[in-house]
Amino acid sequence: MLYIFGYLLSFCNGLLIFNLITTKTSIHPLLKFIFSFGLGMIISAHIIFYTLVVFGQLIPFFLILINLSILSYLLYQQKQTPKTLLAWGIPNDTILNINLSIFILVLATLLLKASLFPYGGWDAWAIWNLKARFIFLGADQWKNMLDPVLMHTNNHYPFLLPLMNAWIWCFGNTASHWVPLTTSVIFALLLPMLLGLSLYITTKHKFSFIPAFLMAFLPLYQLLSISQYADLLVAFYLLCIFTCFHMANEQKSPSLFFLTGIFCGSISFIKDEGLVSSILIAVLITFSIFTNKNITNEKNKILKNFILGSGLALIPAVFFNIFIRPENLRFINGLTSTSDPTSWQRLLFTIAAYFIEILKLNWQGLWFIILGGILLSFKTLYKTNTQKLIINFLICYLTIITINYFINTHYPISFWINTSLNRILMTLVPTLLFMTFYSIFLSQNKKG
Amino acid sequence: MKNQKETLIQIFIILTITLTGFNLITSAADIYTRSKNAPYIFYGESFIPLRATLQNESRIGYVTDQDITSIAPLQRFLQIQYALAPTILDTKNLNQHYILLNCSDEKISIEIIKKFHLKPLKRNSFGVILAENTGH
Repeated sequence: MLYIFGYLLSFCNGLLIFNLITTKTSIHPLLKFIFSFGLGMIISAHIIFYTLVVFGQLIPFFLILINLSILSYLLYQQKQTPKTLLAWGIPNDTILNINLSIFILVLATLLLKASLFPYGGWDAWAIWNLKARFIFLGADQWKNMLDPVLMHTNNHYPFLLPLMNAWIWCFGNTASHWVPLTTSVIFALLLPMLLGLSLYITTKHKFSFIPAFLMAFLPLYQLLSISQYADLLVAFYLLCIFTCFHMANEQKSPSLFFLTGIFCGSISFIKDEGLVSSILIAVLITFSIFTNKNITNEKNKILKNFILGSGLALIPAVFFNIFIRPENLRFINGLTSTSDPTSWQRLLFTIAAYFIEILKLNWQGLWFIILGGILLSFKTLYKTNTQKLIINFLICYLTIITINYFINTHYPISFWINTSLNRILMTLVPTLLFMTFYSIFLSQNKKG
Repeated sequence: MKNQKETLIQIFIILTITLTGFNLITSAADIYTRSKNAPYIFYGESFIPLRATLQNESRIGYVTDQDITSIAPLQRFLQIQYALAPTILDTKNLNQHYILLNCSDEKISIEIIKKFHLKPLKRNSFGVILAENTGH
């Protein structure tokens, strides 16, 4: 039970920081709630990272003290500002209330499934939670998790999710396997909530929550979420970036661009795919700000804020990649290797695999909805800056993933496809659903 | 033309709602099927009692006669690694104070113990033996 205080403390810090940096903006309280949790968890995880770098080990008491000190300082600051922290109470909105109550059902299904699968999937105990145990229990030997002997555990991966779980473990003094499970259930619940809410807030359409429930009740989504993998975090923070960017653009708010930057930089420390996404999105958003004709007076300030936010959140990933990261023993450059050369068949197989994957029964027709939606909203698909950002990102990202599959010949292509393609696609599903349904609802609203 | 598109969007939304309902039903069915299956057994769990003995060991040896690159032995190895972390299971350097012997047949483990003059300390329900390398 004590572990709850860990999540609560992170949330409170996230909320107070969010309030402090977004003074001149208006954000729906529920969206603020979700962003705050995401932000708070990032901050707590980053504090552990800096503690590991400076002191060489995780010290639970010290970490809790730092987080509490931040909380005290932020509470003091909050008293000086007139802005309401969070509008409590039941919202006076029937559509919203009905939809929010359905999330109780989502939570129930997630909890039931997670309890049947308490240690999560292969990558949970072989990679993510193993790293968390090294960080939490390893004292000054935590770097042993990077030992080449542990190459089976992908020791070269970054570790934002393990840091989050290690942070929560600080409140119970044991590395309970219920903590990674709870973390995954929370994020698995917040992700469709964020999807539904952001669609509802931006379009006010009565069916805004339908795509969120479509994804949340999909057995494959539930399985991948409760597997306790870091892909869920990539999916969550990707959607945070795009929705935050959307609001930042609408309100021309430098502080929301700063927050977009924080989310953008943070995904670089979740997974290698996150690092690719982070760099890609940072470049695309910078270009978008430069070319945005609606932003004239505050262009420099917005750009500075976005770069500052991204830069701050990128520090752990940059530090890790320069000073800590061991060599990736699971990479063979097929273009130069004579023993494992790549081939055009490999590339063709990869491209075909995308089509085969989306036709698989375990997606239960989800991709037909996405593709159908794209076809229906084709004319309004590339209108707003957010839509342009998402589409450009998706094209570049999938191209990079395909090139990686093509070049890295350490494993046969069938192995990569079977073990990772559905997870990679699932990280993009919330963003794709947001883009598709936003475009559809937008075209309907325009007619209305 | 506009009305036609509007009808198409409405059909699309109805289809999405129907599919959401279908997902909910299959999700419930999935939970029911999984709960009826045999309970989930985490192989690594039976190694948790060894943590007390290995508390101060940053590295121990891991011996197996199975091919650790194939799925099932690798899964077992990684689950034990999870349970015993932050102690590293070293399959390459066996010159360690403690050795964990996880062979397909317990007799093979005993033969290795005799051959290398190891001192068996503990044995779990899967026949995995923790031995002390007295010569270390």
